[in-house]
Amino acid sequence: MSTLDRLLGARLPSPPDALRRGPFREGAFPSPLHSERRAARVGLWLGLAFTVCFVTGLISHLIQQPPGWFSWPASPAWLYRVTQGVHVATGLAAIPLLLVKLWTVYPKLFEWPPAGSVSRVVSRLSVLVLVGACAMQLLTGLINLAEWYPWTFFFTTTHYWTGWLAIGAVAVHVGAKAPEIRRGLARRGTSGAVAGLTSAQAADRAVANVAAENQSVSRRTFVLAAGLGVGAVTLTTVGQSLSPLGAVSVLSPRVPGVGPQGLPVRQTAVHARVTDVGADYRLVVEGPNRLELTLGDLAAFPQRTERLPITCVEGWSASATWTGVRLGDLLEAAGLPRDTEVTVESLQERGLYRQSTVAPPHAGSPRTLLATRLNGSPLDPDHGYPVRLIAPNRPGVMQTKWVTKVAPV
Amino acid sequence: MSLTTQRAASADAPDADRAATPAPWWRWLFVLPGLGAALYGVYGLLTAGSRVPLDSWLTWFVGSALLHDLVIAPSWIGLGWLAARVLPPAARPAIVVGAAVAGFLALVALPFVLGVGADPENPSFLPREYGRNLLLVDAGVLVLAAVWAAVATVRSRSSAVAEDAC
Repeated sequence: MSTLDRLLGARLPSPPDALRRGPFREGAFPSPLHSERRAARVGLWLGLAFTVCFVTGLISHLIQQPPGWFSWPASPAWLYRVTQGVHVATGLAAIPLLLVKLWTVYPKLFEWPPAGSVSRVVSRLSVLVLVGACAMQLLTGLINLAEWYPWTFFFTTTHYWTGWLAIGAVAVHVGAKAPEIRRGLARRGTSGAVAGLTSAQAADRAVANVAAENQSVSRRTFVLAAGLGVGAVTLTTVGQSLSPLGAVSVLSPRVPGVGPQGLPVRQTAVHARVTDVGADYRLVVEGPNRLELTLGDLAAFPQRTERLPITCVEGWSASATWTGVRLGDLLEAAGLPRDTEVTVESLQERGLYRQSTVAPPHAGSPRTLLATRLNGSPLDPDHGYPVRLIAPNRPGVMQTKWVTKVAPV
Repeated sequence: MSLTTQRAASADAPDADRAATPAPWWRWLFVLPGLGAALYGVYGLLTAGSRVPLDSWLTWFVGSALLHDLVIAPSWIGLGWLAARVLPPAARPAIVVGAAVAGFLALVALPFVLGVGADPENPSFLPREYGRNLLLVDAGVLVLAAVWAAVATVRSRSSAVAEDAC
């Protein structure tokens, strides 16, 4: 251990002081808001935001690639709408928080000497991992919402694994900065706020705290800028998930109610190359009593109408009225139990999302339909004409469109 | 030199404060799971194969940090430097808040304004005029900030005059 201490504490040669210019000068960043207290307090909010993003992101990942121990319910129907809406809204709100947080600690980027000891080098590299992972998650997440892919990685895989790296780096950072965080979060003037400081340092902090209150761009200004920034970003975008605010959110990439039949579309029929569905269309349901149904046959089954949301992994969601045949009714007619786990296949020949698995809770749900009508008229090609799956509490990528085959797993 | 002064002198050495700061026990509840999660993420990235080409990943990983450190932060600090020279102290809070809010909105809306991913086949995606909307919202924010700044400046001057009168 003492060898390790000696290695980590080893002084490294400093560059000549003549190079200490510009932002490296002492006092180059005079604002007393570049402080431990501000960093700890913004950091608390940012840490909460990253935790919410991580948990909701993990939920979405587990629903789409469920391990054996995981089961996602079919009810309440709005749950995934909330978790994924919160995932994207929190990620967007974290953009101003991250910028404010990085501003408070920006002078540390120019500390002198730049690498005073081995432990400082290790510490600074770990901060690069932290900032890189957090900034990348928010930046690529935002650009992905614009369906712009200026990279060669597959976004969802990258976002998932970088998410583990980011939340891990945040947790390590919280642990590494535990004494500073404890001081920064303690009430001003209490012994906790100066724990571990020498009396000279404590006196310096007290002067800085008074300056932060009284200078023209004060602590209040700082808090107001951060709070209003988060509020403004949220208000102008959250209407894509929170439909009542649809008209207020003038910068949201989706608007509930805008799209064919009053519903937004993620993948178009042209893009999926499913534009020539003719009279030879059949819906096949595999089972002991295999069904091969025309649209006329399908219409002879009892028709059900359900009001269910469609929720995109990109965070937008909107409710719609769907009419069609219960999946359970078809499975029963094919000689299968109503809650049989099945795959649903699309006419679409290529693409990651041309088929989805319907787990027992959803297969057996009376609200799960193979829908043929939307908001009172036959499905638009972009919504999956002639038949699409619509189940409660599932991501949109698993609500397979242009369905042609249902088969037990 | 007595023992006590020696101790006081050594407490002023930079590494002495660090030793004096007791690390809370709960730090390990963050450090150990955090290391596990980060290593799991690295393992996942390294084994994802063609789905995560590491050159592209590294470009965005380092690039995102550099975008902040070399572009966004210096621009903001440059604006602050300018504001401190041009604006009277009473006007600065309003302008800082207004510029920050307008800037956040511009950054978040920029990918939608650029509209690179827009698809003419899909009018439900990016259905709004994002450039115009961003200009209007940011103009509104900045006008409000300017009004607040003007009111604050006038008030501070009149209160200064009132103090002089006393």
